[in-house]
Amino acid sequence: MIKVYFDSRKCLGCHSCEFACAVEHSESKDPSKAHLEEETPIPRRNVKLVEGICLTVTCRHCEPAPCVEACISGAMEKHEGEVRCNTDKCIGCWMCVMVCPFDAVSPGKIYTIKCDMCPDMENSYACVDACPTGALFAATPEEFAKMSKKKKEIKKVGVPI
Amino acid sequence: MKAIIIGNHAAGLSAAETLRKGDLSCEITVISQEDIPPYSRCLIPYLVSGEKQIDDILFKPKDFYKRNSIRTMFGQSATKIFTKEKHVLLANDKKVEYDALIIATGGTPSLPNIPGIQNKGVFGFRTLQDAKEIISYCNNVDTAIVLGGGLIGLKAAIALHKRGKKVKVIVTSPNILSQIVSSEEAKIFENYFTKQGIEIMTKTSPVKVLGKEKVEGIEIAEGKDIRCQMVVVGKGVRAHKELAEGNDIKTEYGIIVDEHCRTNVLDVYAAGDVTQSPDSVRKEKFMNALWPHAVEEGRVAAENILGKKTILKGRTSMNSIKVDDLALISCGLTGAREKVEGGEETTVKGPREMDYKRFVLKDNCLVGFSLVGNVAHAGILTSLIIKEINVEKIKDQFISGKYDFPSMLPLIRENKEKFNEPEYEEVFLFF
Repeated sequence: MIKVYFDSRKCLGCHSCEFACAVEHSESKDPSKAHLEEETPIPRRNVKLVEGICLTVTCRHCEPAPCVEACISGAMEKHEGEVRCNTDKCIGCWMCVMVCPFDAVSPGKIYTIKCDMCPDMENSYACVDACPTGALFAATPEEFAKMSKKKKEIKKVGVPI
Repeated sequence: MKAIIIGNHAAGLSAAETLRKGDLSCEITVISQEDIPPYSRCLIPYLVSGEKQIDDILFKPKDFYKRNSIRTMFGQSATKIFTKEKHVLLANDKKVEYDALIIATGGTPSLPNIPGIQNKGVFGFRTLQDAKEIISYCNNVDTAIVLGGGLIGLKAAIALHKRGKKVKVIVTSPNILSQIVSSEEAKIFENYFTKQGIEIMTKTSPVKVLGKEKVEGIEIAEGKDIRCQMVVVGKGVRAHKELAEGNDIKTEYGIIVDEHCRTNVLDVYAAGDVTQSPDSVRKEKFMNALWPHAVEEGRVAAENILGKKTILKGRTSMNSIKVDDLALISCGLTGAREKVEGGEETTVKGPREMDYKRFVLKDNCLVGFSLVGNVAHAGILTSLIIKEINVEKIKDQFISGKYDFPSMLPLIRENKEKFNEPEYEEVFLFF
């Protein structure tokens, strides 16, 4: 399983990830046409400033996932660790909106809008590809755990990285 | 290990799935009165309205049980549990032994105790059977009366209206949705329904179902009889806990379970609408017959059977309803069902006519909210409630409508010890 992680220290706040995400989830998948489509494509992630630091949080693909457990239509499903919303099944009841603690599922016009890990792309993700600084990166949870451990150890001995 | 699950809906299904995922060799038996693959009871309104067909509301592929080597005893009912001998007796006198048992028998619609309620043309609104009967009876119906203005009643009203029937909703309370929201929020919905052509009659008490054999109308305490050819009862459910009664399993309004979904009897668990389980806001065991809670309880019961010692997360009443473009999400104590002693309420109207927000605070913690119209970011508020976060510092911020995740992150970080799911670590690490 791969997840997209985020390093705020490297984020410039350029919103490239937002734009790339919206384009990837548009009808045409073409940056020059996407914004002119009848239904304006909506990004699954947003960049915002928090206490002077950039933050871009999207679905954490939780385990267990509150949105999957709350879904009354069986639309929200886990596929090898990834939480995806099957838009054919989604009835837009917003039970997932009610329970998502990361604010990562939004009520769309008809169905829920959330990160789907770019199923149309092969082993890459629109937001990661678009990020010019590597603030967004794809890794396995095991790789992330190693980074987390390392960072905590560094913090303990007080050496800045 | 032999595990028996009685019930084949949200809780039972979630338990079966979790057991199989965690233990490939475990012998799992699911007993259910209904002889069909699991379907979503929440989608019954869509079946009645005609928007969906039976195949669309099936929750799992038809071969789900076969594929997961789960033994099914469908169309059979359990009549007694022998907790000492550890077996379940079926209606056909067959005994099924267990090492662990999960009771997930759900709820039963409560029918008002008035004369004529057994007449032909009176229906509940819960099961596939109810839906099928309503649909086949519908042809000769011009006007349908729905008893009850709660979520079930209103969903029934919408479904029948979409099917082309004249619909009148009879509500005893002064407003609809009286268990969930206050009259201001309810009014927005009442106006909406009225505009659609659904008649809402509040402060109206049905005293009798008219008609000799078939329904011909409803007699009300407040005035003239109302003519109709069909009555649908949407007055909430009570726990279907009969199976736990008459032996040593502790029950009150439902089967009492702890945070591991254990009953007081060893190796007997309960999950779903049948349980009376911990409520983190009310600080007592409460009947929260809700889909998300049922699925969580099914999983937690199964994980404990597998030896994992998982506990239920913070939880309380919560609901989401959407009628066309009009949405409502509420959570916790909104002041509707019970008065919040020492609670401080704030309401915010607008910008649109349909937008209305209510926040209820107590001891500097958010204990309840309801959002009508714009329901985005509701999950953040839910998490503040169930994790019992002191929100004193940012009170004004969320009242002004700023409660998206980034806006709430400083508060979340300050309460790291409560936001302890590993997923939060992913957000905190490089921030």
